Amino acid sequence: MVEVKGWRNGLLMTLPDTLELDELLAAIRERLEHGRNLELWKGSVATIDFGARIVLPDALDSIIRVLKDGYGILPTAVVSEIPETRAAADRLTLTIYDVLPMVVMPPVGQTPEPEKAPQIGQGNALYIPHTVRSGQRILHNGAVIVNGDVNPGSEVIAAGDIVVLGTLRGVAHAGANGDETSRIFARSLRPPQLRIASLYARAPEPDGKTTASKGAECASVQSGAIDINPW
Amino acid sequence: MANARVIVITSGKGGVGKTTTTANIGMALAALDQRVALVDADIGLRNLDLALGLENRIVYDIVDVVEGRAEVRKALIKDKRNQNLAFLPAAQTRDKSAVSPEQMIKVLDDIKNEGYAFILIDCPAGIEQGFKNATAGADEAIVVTNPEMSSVRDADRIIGLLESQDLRGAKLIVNRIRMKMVEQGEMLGVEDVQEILGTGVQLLGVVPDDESIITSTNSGEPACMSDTSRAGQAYRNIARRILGEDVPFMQLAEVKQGGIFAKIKKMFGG
Repeated sequence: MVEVKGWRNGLLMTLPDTLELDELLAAIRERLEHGRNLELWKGSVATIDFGARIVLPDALDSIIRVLKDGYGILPTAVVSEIPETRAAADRLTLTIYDVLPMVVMPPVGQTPEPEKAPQIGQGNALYIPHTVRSGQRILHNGAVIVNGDVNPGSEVIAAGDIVVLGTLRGVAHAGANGDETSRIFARSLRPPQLRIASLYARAPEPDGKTTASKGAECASVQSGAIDINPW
Repeated sequence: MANARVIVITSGKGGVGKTTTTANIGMALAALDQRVALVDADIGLRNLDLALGLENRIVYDIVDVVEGRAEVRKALIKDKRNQNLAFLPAAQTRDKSAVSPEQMIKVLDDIKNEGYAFILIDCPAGIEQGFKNATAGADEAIVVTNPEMSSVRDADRIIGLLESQDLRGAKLIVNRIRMKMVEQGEMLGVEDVQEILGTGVQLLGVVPDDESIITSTNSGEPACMSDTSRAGQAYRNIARRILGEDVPFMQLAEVKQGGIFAKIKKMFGG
């Protein structure tokens, strides 16, 4: 039915194509009230994915009013290929996407040529103010900054740089769109694997020797391989 | 409706000691004059009845309640040792799909109306339907982990899932620790576990690995009732901390040495 998830710096709401308008509004309300804490929604921006639904201006107004007045959610963008829906969104000066903009993930080993790789908007950084826990996956079309740790079993995938203001123990993939100039910074770099563009590096096997604490490090591509230097 | 503290005891990983912990904390709280109801949410693989030694007294279970064949009051089994303690068994012949989160919340409300101060929910291993059912009506969470990497990683996942369900402030129990191995750098120490899970997760207790747990599970007599069991002592301390008392941690002699990572060059995780 109605799906809501965290996406970029706000929410992504996926609405079903069927359902009459009042049923749809009821379903939206039900989904938002399902969480225990309605304060959680206040102040969020949202992208609404309408799928194949035809949404006329009045209907769009109703939906937006329910979200804004009822829950403090501000829709700023719409995903739709349907002309009527796009026109209704355009009237309200919302951003319109054909399809959900995602980071295009080339299979490891098949990266587009660096010249053909899309320009990374490094100004479009995602800031995560907490630790990324096991099982969480951060995917962003820009740089990513984590103010916390990246725990084992989690993934951070960014089109740009990755900065971890803590310990990196999960998988980090910078320059995921093919930008080999992207780098990975961490206060403590201990991941099982590092990936930059189509290159990847594996942590060394334990050899029983002690390791002194290394301090902050930066991983970058030098002469076609991933190199790690103090930062 | 009467108010009760509803605490889910979870871990992610199986076999780390959730059921043992639930039975022991429940029994210890009851011994401190609290009215406690325990709920076994592991439908299909129930174990809490064995830990309490009450397996022969099961007439109705949680699925009977949810499907209307029995009221909660009839299904709750009073403990044979302490009238303050009661428990609601899981079904063994059904599976996790037999109950929904909404139904779980209704059952918990009915239990609250019976006047219990604490409801402890024994959560099954995993992150699927069983976990969702068990966390549905909970206000607080205790995460149990063993001091080894698989269970810590699973505990981390669980804490992340709890946080996304708005169940914040989870507390941590490190179970089955062997101080000698920690001192020799062969086992993760409590600090190593806290380094990964984050200092925001408050340490509720540290329970030593103890053979008395094996005998207590087989005999159905929770270890917290024994004067000689060190694990039992740890559980009694945990119960007091839950009631707000500031109990110093048992002298398990952890030597501060930066834990395992200073000793072995190791990349872990992934």
